[in-house]
Order: sequence, then C-alpha cells, then structure tokens
Amino acid sequence: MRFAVFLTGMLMFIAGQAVSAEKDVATSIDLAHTPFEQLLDMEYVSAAKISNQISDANTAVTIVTAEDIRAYGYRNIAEIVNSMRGLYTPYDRSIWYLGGRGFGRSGDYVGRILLMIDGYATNDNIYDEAYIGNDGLIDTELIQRVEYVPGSGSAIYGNNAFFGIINIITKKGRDFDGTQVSGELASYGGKKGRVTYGKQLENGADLLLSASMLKNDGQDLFSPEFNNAAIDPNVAVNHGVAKGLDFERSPRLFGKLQFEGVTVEGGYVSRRHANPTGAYGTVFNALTWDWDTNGFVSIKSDNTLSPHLKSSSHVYYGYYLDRTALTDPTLGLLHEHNRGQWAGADVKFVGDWFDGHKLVFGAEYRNDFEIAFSNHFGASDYSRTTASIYAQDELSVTDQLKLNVGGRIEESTGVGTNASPRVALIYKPFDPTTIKLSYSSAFRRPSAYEQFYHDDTQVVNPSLRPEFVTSTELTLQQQFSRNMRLVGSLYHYQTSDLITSITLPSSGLNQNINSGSGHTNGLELEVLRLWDNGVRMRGSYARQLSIDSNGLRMVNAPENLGKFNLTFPMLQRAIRTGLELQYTSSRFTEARQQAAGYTLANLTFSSEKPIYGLNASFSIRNLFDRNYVSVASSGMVQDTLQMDGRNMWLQMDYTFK
Amino acid sequence: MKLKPIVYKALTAMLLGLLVTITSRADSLPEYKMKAAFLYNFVQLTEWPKSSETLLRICVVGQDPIVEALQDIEGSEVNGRRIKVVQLPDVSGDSLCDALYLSESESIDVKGVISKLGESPVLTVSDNIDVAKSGVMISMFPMSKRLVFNVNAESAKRAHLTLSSRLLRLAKHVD
Repeated sequence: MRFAVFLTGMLMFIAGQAVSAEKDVATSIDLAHTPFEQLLDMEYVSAAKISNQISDANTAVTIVTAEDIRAYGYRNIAEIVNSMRGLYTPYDRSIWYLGGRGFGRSGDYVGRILLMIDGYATNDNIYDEAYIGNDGLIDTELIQRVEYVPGSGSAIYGNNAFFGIINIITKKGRDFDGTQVSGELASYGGKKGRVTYGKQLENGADLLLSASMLKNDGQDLFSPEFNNAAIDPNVAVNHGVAKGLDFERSPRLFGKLQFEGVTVEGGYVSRRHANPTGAYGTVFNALTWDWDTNGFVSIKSDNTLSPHLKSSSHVYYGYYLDRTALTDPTLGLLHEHNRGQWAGADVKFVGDWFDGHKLVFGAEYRNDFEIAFSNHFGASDYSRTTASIYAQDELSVTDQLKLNVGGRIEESTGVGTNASPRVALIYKPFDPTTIKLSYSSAFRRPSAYEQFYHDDTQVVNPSLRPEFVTSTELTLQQQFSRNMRLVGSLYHYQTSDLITSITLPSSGLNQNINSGSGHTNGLELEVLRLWDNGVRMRGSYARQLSIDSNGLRMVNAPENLGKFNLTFPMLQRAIRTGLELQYTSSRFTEARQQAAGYTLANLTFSSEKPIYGLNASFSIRNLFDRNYVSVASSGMVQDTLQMDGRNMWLQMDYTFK
Repeated sequence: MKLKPIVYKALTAMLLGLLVTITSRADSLPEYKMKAAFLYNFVQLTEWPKSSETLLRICVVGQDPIVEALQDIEGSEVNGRRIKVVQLPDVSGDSLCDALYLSESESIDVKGVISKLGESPVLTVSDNIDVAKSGVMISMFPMSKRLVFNVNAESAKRAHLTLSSRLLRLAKHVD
C-alpha cells in the first residue's frame, strides 16, 4: 500500500516534470556574435526527428535507437524487440523466444527470423537460431539502433528471413571517444562489467573494441508440477524447488575497425545458463545447462565503381558450439557437443543507369563446412553448400507510384532449388502519405537439428523438405512532420509444410515432419511522436488471429498486444525517465488452457549527461510486481512457467577521454 | 520480491539530492540554431575568388529546419557581402549559390551534386557524416553532445576556395 502511494506521488512528480521540460532550452544567445571557439565548446540539444531506416523494406519498419535503449534500460535484444509493435518474447527460464504475426509456437527457437549485425547473418547452422538473450553476440550499449522489418525478407536476404528481419547496427568508435568502464548490479545476484574503447584515429580510421562479463546467481525456482511424488521421485528432498539451477555467465568480445569504406568486424559470446525446469525428460533439480558459444569475423567493402554503380562485397566466417549438459534419469550426467562452422561471400550491386529504375542484384555463396553432432548416443557429421542469386528493380511508374519487383533463387545441398519472389506497389498520393501493398513468398529449409539430430528420443529425417509462407500486406504510413508518424498495417500470412515434431506410433520416438499449416490475419497500428524538448512517445497495438493446421487457435499466440513507451527529461534535464507499459492478452498453452493476460510496467531513470564523467541508470522491471507466466513448450512437464516479480538493475559507467 | 520502505526512502532521498546538486549547468542550444551558427562561421572563414557580388547566397535544399534558424543571420554582412538564404526545391539548379547546404534530413545524391558542381566556387556543407567521403568540403557531426566538423581541403582547393587557417585549425580532421 505504501509502495502504491509512493509510486503515485512519484508518477505525478514525473508528469509535472514532463510538462515543464518545454521551457528549458536556451535560445536567447546571439550566435552571430559568439566566437567560433566558444560555439565548439557548447553543448546542444538534438532536434527530434524520426530516423531514416536503412533496411530495404516493403513494409513499415520499427526502429529502436541507442537513446531508447538507454532511456528504457534494455539489457538484451529480447527486451528491445519486446517493445516493438506486434512482438513478444517468452522465456523458458533459460532461453528467450520470439513470437508475433503467427510465428513463435512454444519451444520454437528464434529460427524464422533473421538476426543481422551490421549485415552479417548471425543465425547458427545447427539450430538456425537467432540468439536474443544474454547468449546474443552484442552488448546493448554498443548498439546504435535496431530495426525490425516485418514480413518475409527472403527475396533479398534468403533462408532465415521467413517472417522478418531484425537488423542491428552497431555504434562507431567515435561515439565513445575514449575508454568507457561500466559496472552493473541487478536483482538475483546479477553482476556485469564492461570495458569499451572507441576512437576515430587521426588518419580517419574508426576503431571500437569492447569486452564484457556477466554473471547471475539466479533464484531457487519452484515448479508446483514437480511437487508431486508421482512425477518427481525426489520430491521429499526438494519439494518442487530447483535449487541453485538458475545461474548464468556470459563473457563477450566485440571489435570493429572501419577505414576508407572497409569494415572489419568480429564478435564472440559464450553463454552458459542452468536449466531449472526439468525439461525434455531430464531429472528435476539436477545439473542441466545450455551452453551456447557464437563467434564471427566479417569483412565488408563498399565501393563506387562508376557514377551509376555501387557495390558492396562481404566475406564472413562463423562458428557455433553447443555444449549442453543434462542429467538423464538412468544414465546420469551427459554432455553434448554440437559444433558448426561456415564461411561465405556475397557481392551486391546497386545500379541506376536507367531513369526511373533502381536495380539491386547480387550473388552469395556459403559453405557450411562443419555441422557436427556428438552426444552419448553417437556422432554424425554433415556439410552443406548454398549458392544464391537475387535481383530487384524499383521502377518509378509515375512520380507518385513505384513498382518493386524482385526475388532470390537459392540452391542448397539436399534441399534443391527454391525461389522467393516478391512484388510491391508503393504509392505516395501526397507527400506525407505512403501506401504500400506487398506480396511475397518465401521458404525456410529445415535446420540441421530438425533434419539430422538424433538421441534416445529423436530420430533423423533426411527427406525433410522446406516450409513455405506467403504474405500479403497493406501498409499505410502517414508522416505528419519530421517528428510524428503513424503506421497502420493489415496482413495475411499463409504457411504450409511447417516443420513439426511428432511422436512415431511404432517406436514412441520423436521425428520432425512437414505437416503443419496455418494462417494468420492481423492488424497493427503504431504512433511515434517526438518533441524538441526531449520527450519521446511510441505506442502500438497489434491484433493477430493465428489458426494452426487443426483449425485451432495457435498455441502461445496472444490475440492482442499493446505497447506504450514514454520518455522525458526532468530535473532541469539532468535525469531522463523512461516508462514502459506492455500488455499481452491471454493465449493458449500446450494443454489448451488459457494463460491469463497481463500488463507489465517498467520504469527507468538515467542520467542525461555525465556528472564528473560518471553516468548512471536505474531500472525497476515489473514495477507493480505482477504475477505472470510464459507458455511452456511441449517438451516440458509444466504447462506454464512463472516469470520474475519486481526486480531492479543499476548501471554506472565512467569515460576516460 | 517486496520493496522495503527503506529502499524507497533512499530512492526519494536520491532524487531530491540530485534536484539540489544539479542546479548550475551549461546552457544548451537547439540543434538547428547551432548548425546555422556553424554555417555562418564557415562562410565568414572562407574566401571566394574575386567576387564582385554584393550578395552571398546560402542555398538550402528541401524543407530542412535550418532554414528557419538561418533567418537570424539573413541580411548580416560577411566580408562586405550581404547574406541571402535561398531555399531550393531540388539540387538540379545551376550554381548561383555561393554556399550549398546538403542536409541529412533530405535524401540527396550528394556525389551527383558534387560532380555536377565541378570546379565552380561553391562551398558545400553537410551535417551528414556518412557523405563526408563524397567530396563535401565541410561536414558537421556530433561528438560528446557537441558539434564538430571535418574539412576536405582538397575539394575546396579544386573549387578555388580559400579556407582560412583558423577554420582548418578548429576542424576535427582535415583531408
């Protein structure tokens, strides 16, 4: 109760500050008579403007910037994308998942979305998974912005861009301009340290180097389902509590060097998280962990070949290692060692030789030269090569109307040749209004895990085929001014041959087959408004209706999602407040029960400018201590999983110039 | 987890403490006023080849908010010439401008513009650091909440413009 009174008081105070922020900017100085040297030393306030997207898209892109990341205290990609229109991020107490627009069945790894860092596709080659938790490749402090492009991007980006693309653009060294040291403390024994060096060198080269280490003790988590002698033989000892099995550690490295149009970039993360849920037939309250290591090196070169032709060449190497450990009821502690390595090259051209045409075309070759599974039940090795070509033309029919036609053809070992075409009409009847109508068809080839993984519960299926999606979308974008935008979208997705795990009647073993299909209809609205006094507001509502192959509402697909983000400076621009509200409606669980809907509030205070070089940020997540759950996957005894109550996070950083 | 009273008392104290401590701070300027002031200094520190013109035309392409901020300096005299701010609908026009501002908010083919201008004595300025390599003479960009700029002296020389040594000294980087 007292907390509620305090909170009301605080929110009112904050609201008052937001109103008075307006008259805070100095305007009366006679700039014409201020010496230049003095101007160079004066701070200025950036005008509010909606950033131009860099992603190639025929739908409406959502952008979260570095300023938002700081204002709302986002600590991983999952928290960033969870604030975006129509997306939600369930958590199974070890791994973060991503859902929206009819994808995100419970237990589906983030494999139907392509996650890119500065143009490098991060999805691994065992699970084709995009890592969005503390297993992700990048610290959020190094992110300049994150763009989410809904709808299939396979026509240009290929395989994993089935339902959409998340494009992460990292900061430059000059954004740090010195050495930054950061320390964090969080609830449940969370600690993180980071050192980042960034500089633009005298010769114009830009260098960014960063290392961080995260540790979480975690909680002793209670699962009522295991507080039952029929399910857990050890119930008398642990009473349904998994003790000390929520720990996590995650070291990260990142580096980037840019010089004269060439970028060399590399990242590494090795995250281990215990699993406290007794999932997939493992012993409850016994040691089980997920341990994912990802690394990459990427070299990119942008060139202007002639006044009408630009090119971008890219070579990359990627590495993934899965070192899962689990306690089996009969065999005891088992280790897995699944490793993938790949290298590839792509070259892309943009040409505007002909009036009214903008041509994009290119080719990519990728060799997944190692896809190796090794566990107690055996080892197997695979490799795969993929060659693709793609092309797109943006044709200006009139000044107001553009036609965008493109597609990608991909040939992959064992899967054959598949095409992803896309066509879109872009109509600008008057300057602030853009209407886009797009149709695309895309495929996703089975992941190596879905096709070839085997142990005592799962068998391989070498004849597994790709799954398909067609999407039709109508988007309306109304740009009222440089600082206000409204987006509306209607879409229809049809999926077929979805890769689904079934239990074979003959043996009782699981196998992935092409069987599922489904469709999703949805509506999305988003408004973005920025003010010159530093207030920023973003709100969205998404309604989706996802039907699976049995004609039933899809599991783990909430019908309504609402997001509201408001941030403003207060206390004479010394502190910034970020308030976030997220509504998720009820959704079906695997047992076809309804998991209750919930609204979460997160509140963050961050310093607007350093005080003696020191910056600080403080977040309260789940401010009202709401009780809420995530839908568990079918491999779990639990039907739902309890999520965290109110928890806090404090970050401080200091920059040496 | 329940929040203990002591925790929120501490929090209130912290907020109030900050309220008291942070009373004096440097005044901040709005972005476009700052950019306009920079532009004014750039033209002041540039020498055009034997111009008999009485007007110094600063052209801005598109609807950029800097136009409004430039009103403050419109009409003021720089080295004997009166500043006139001209708003261009697009960059196809000829080089009647003495200075051309290529803003970040407009999607302009900067390279095309630069090559079209050739050797004509037009001072090109942009606030888009990403186009710095396309031959723009002066590019402004933010660094630690301050505005700084790079100079491409080569391009200026090619256009027969003389940039003062003071301008070059104040630049973050000179090519």
